[in-house]
Amino acid sequence: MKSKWYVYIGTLALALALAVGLGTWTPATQADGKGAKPPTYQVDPFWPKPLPDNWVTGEVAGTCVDSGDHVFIVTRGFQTGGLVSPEGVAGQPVKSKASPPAIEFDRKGNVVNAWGDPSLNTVPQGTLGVGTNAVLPNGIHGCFVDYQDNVWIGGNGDGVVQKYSHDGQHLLMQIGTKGVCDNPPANTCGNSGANPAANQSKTMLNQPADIAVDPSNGDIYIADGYGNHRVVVFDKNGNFLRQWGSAGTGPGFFQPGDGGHPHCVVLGADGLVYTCDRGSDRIQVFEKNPKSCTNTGVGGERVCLPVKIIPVVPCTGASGTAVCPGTGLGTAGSAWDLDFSPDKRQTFMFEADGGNEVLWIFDRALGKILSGFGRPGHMAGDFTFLHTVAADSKGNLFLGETVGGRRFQKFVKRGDGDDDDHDKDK
Amino acid sequence: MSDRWIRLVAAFSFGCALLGPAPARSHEFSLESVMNAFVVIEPREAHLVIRLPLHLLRTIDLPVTGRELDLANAEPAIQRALAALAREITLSEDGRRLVPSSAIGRLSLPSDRSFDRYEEAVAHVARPVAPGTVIYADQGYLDAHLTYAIAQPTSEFTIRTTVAPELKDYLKLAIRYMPLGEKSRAMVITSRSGTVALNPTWYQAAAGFVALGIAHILSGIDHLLFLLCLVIPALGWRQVVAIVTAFTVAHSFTLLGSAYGLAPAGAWFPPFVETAIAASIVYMALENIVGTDFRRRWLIAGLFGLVHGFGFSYGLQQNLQFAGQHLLVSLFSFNLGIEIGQLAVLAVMLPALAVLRRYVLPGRVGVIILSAIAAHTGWHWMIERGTVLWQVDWPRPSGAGLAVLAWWVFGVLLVAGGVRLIARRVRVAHRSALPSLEKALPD
Repeated sequence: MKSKWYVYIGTLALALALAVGLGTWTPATQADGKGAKPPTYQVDPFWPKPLPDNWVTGEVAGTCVDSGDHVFIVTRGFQTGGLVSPEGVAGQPVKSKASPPAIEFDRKGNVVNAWGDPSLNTVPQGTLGVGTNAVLPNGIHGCFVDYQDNVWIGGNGDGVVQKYSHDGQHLLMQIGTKGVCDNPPANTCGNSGANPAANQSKTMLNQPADIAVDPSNGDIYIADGYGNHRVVVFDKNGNFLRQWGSAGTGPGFFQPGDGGHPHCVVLGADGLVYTCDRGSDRIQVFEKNPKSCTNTGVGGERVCLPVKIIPVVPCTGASGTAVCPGTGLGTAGSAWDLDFSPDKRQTFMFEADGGNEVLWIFDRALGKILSGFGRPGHMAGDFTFLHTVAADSKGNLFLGETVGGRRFQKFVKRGDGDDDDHDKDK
Repeated sequence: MSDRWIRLVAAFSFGCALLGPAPARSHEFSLESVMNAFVVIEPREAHLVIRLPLHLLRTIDLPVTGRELDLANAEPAIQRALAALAREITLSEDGRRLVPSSAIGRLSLPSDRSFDRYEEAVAHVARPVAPGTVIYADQGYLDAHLTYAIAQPTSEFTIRTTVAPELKDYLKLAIRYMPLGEKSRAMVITSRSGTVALNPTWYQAAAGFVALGIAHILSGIDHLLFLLCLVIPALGWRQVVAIVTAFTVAHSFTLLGSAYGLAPAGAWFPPFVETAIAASIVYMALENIVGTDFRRRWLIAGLFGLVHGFGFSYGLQQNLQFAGQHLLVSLFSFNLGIEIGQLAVLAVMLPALAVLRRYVLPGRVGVIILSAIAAHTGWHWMIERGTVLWQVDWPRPSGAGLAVLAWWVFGVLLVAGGVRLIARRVRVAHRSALPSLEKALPD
């Protein structure tokens, strides 16, 4: 009987010692210079809820989040051939129905609104042929919700960027002309890398990939990068202000090949402009109004030195150089899109690497990869043509996939990131 | 009745329990809006600083130019909105409705973050809209600051919202209440909450939480089914008292611990608790069917009571916001309400069970059939909840997590030791008076 009593007291004391000991024990923090501790993520396979009426999205060309954490996706299912192949039987989308081009989801993943005119051209429009998007930018590409909750959409098969009201019922602004691109003399939309007369229009674009709006003054930053190779800035009324960048591989240039150079433009809380030089596997970071500039572009246009260059995965896209002697993916490099963690310091930068099918988590200030997740594939949490990334105010990530992936996934933040601590410091 | 016949009935009943459809899931509504407010009490004034999404002001007719709000000519509409706000969100002091002594308002961009902090919100509302600002219709906020003269800061203050009552619980008013000289508190109400006390007295809090506890146990069908399983074998009243007491002590222990933040916080824990509650029903029903020794039932009831206490805490947590300063009073009141509800249910359940066992399902067959029905339901709950549990992220071992676990082990050991000590004293005192449980069982 006494021995039972001893065992009981001993167990009690051990539990108490463990509770106090473990509760007061603080593991050593990471040494300075190694970067902040990144958060972890897990795919939510139940987000979004099933789409109504057999909607199929086709390629998801952009993901963006509004001030209330509603998520928008822009899709290509309505475009010619948008649904033909995987979902249809024998190449015919029998039961699949193309979703509206833009869909808005609430935090729980319910569809709360869907909009966008899916009309296609029955006669040529500018240099766009029959079957191209008649109203929305052809080759719908990238979306952005500005500080006024308006929704911006670009198009990598067109010469326009469009601004819509939050409910999509009103086209509020269009920069550029549909079917007319900055690529003289014919102004056809396409790569203008070797054309000295291109990449410098104050009114035309050439296959814009992404948009960002400065909340301090309404200035519009456009990654005019599928045909052109520049960042171009307009004021809030759509008047040209400035541009920089040209086809090339040096600092301040964007990869000369076709297909997204720059592929993204994102404004940081540090007042800098982050751009994705996709095929060159790097993020080039500029001042909003760069000062160190020369007129050394292909056509003598302005090229500016970045304040820093953040490498992603070198030699994913680039090849045939001393540094990257092997064969790379070319256009499909490793720098596709980015967004930041929602803390005021934007401790982390999330980078969508569709070349390697990984979502990288960077220490934004150090420009250093801390962790990443994802692999090629079609299962939940896998990626195929990982194209865009957007973070909500809780740090959850929404990733869009194009071409063979054609879906979007939510990754739930599981905590532990140092950004949580930073916001507690405020 | 022969053992063979009983075994056949048991096997048939349990087989039936595993078949049959699972319960349907509830429907979710998608459109939710939130109004954010600070209610601040100062020595002579109360302040309501509030932010409303513009889509709630459809009846105010804010002037527009094209798709943009005409900010230069918006003041009359803002004044109408402020008047409507003063009517539809009411602050009262000791039951007397307060009338704003001043009200100012402005329109804000959706990207504005001033309402993260009270001081920033007050400064923001007082500032005019920056020149050149463009706000699109329905894409922004109305921010307002209403000031009320009050008699004294220690009065009882209440709040009520009737903004857009047609949105029912889908329109929420998130309040950060900042009383003078006390810690601030947060609560979320809707137009269906009625008048809510911001600083309830202890007896108001106690009455509210007793009622809440009763309502919670009466609506907690899984807890009631577990309770039924405990008493199906028609035990003597002393055994019922022992079992219910063990269940009560145990669930009170975890309920109180949870209220003080000692329960694991991970997303895995609620589905784990829900699954364990369903499993407790299955276990107890199976034990009834196979007819094990019931003398240790009080111990099993105690162990499962620990799990059910976590389940009760989920009904409590979302309402603790209404406890004001009286957290402990509210906790005990909620627990008291649970016990009152539990006793009320037993007062109906035991006689009904006795009648059923005597006239409809007599003997062991009755125990088996009733337990099989309970097992059927519990089994499907367990599968359904287990599916959810399987999908969540399991916790990674950490020092803090293990420390919480160690605290719980320490607490459970301490309580179990205490209960055992008391039980021994009681047994010594009443050994001759207690009949064995086997004797209490028929057949």
